[in-house]
Amino acid sequence: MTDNLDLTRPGGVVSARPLYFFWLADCSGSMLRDGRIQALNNAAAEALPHMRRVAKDNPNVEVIVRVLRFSTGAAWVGEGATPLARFVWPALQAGGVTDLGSAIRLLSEDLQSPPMPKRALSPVVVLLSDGRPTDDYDTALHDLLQLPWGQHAVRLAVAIGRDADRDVLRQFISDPNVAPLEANSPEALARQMRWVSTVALDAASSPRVGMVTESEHVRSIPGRMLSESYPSDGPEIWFDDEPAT
Amino acid sequence: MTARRFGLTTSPPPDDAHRWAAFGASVRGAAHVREDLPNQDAEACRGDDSGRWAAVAVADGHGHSLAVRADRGAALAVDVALAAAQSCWDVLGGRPDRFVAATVSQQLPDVMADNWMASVEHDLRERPFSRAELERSGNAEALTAQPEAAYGTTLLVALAVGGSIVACQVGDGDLVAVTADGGVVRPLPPDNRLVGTKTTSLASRTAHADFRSSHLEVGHERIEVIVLATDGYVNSFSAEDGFAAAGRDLWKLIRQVGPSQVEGALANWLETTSSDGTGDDATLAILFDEAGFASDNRAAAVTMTVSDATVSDGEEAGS
Repeated sequence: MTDNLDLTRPGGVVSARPLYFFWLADCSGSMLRDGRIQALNNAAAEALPHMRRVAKDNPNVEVIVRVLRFSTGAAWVGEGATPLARFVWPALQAGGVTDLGSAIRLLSEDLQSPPMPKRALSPVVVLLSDGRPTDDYDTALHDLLQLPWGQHAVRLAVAIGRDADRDVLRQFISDPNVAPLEANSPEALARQMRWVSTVALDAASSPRVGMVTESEHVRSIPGRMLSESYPSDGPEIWFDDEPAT
Repeated sequence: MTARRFGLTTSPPPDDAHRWAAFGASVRGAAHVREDLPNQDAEACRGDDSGRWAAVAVADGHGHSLAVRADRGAALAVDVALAAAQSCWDVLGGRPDRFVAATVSQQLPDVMADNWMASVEHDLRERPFSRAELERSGNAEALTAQPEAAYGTTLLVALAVGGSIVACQVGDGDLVAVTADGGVVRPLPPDNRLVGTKTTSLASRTAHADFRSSHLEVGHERIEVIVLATDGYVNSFSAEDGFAAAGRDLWKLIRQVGPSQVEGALANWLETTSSDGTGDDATLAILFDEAGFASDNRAAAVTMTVSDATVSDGEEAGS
């Protein structure tokens, strides 16, 4: 009787849980100064192997990367949502103003289900900027934080140079326990991008469940957990202090 | 792993159209093995040989660092749930027709939330936090202020009494019911707050309000199988309706090969599903109506009591 039994595993195809990693890169004209845009491209390329190493240690998580550039307007760059194993950092060019609001609005479209799979882990969003917004970022950010995925995303920011608007970056992070990372030199930028590519990715990959209605100390990834391991910016100050666009 | 079954060996009472039985299993996830964490899920089944009632519960202790006793919290949750289900049955005097599912579905969440909290408080009195636990939490101050967070867990429960079924859930995980024609029913409304790794919790002060519950009154058509699972299993499927498809596949398998074969294979399925999927602990429990499998009663509809519950056609739900 039991010889012909079909005991195929129920439920169809099974796969690792997706984790979306979004880079929001400021490509305004001021990023041309001191070779910042080139430093950003180099730092991102250098961070990739470290990111892949962390991803390898978390085989039940599939990291998917997207890059969004913003200057005058905003646009996704590259071939769309790409598994980390196949991801290549696109060579970003700088020029124009700092339409952060446009970038956040575009990001918000992706932080909804669909296209975001319901079973995805909380996404990581890293904002890299050297200036201050030139459009209405405030409304866009407010709308982003109304979205469940926007609210629960791990939001981090890297301030490139002295003129990056820290208040805006803090507002973007919206977590008093997490400060913007400082990158005042190409080396520091590389260090910070490596840090967000590894420590933040590893934290987001861990199954640390939090309660939705409780206080700050039970957030899904405690800010303390991130901020305690912040890399030091170091003494180098290569990016100058002239006003950014 | 735990797995047990009951109510399968006796003849049905002569006037009973339903004969409920249950089994389940729970496995430690690959990620928990890598991180040297215990299985923080729990499952339990209860009923009696009459088959007139049965209940199943699964729970998923939180992975948050504050939840230093998550496995204990999950175990307490399924114990409390089944004790509450047992008491629902006990007051009926063996008469399923006295069961008022609508009332039970309203009251059960409060009873379970209160009793779980009482169990946690008792456990804390018996076993105060050790220094190692406070250190492991990473935030001794927060844990001392809110000690129940150490036991944080989700809970899903299904109770079948005669032709009535009650389902309750706080937190993530999923529950589907499969009808005699293979249609998949989701009796519980979705909770849009459950995003990423965020979940509502029995440990929350709003747990009473965070419960979702509903009841099904089985009409001419039968609910034959109810499947409950923690998110380690549910989130392993690539397709959005993967768990619903799994529910229907399990219904089919029980029909084709019998519950014993399915029970025997369950732990292995959970292990491979989790290791190829989320890597999280995976737990699944099945409540099924044995009498239904012997019946040709295939008509009519299930009366739903939750306005936004969804019913999908059997053909669409298949894997």
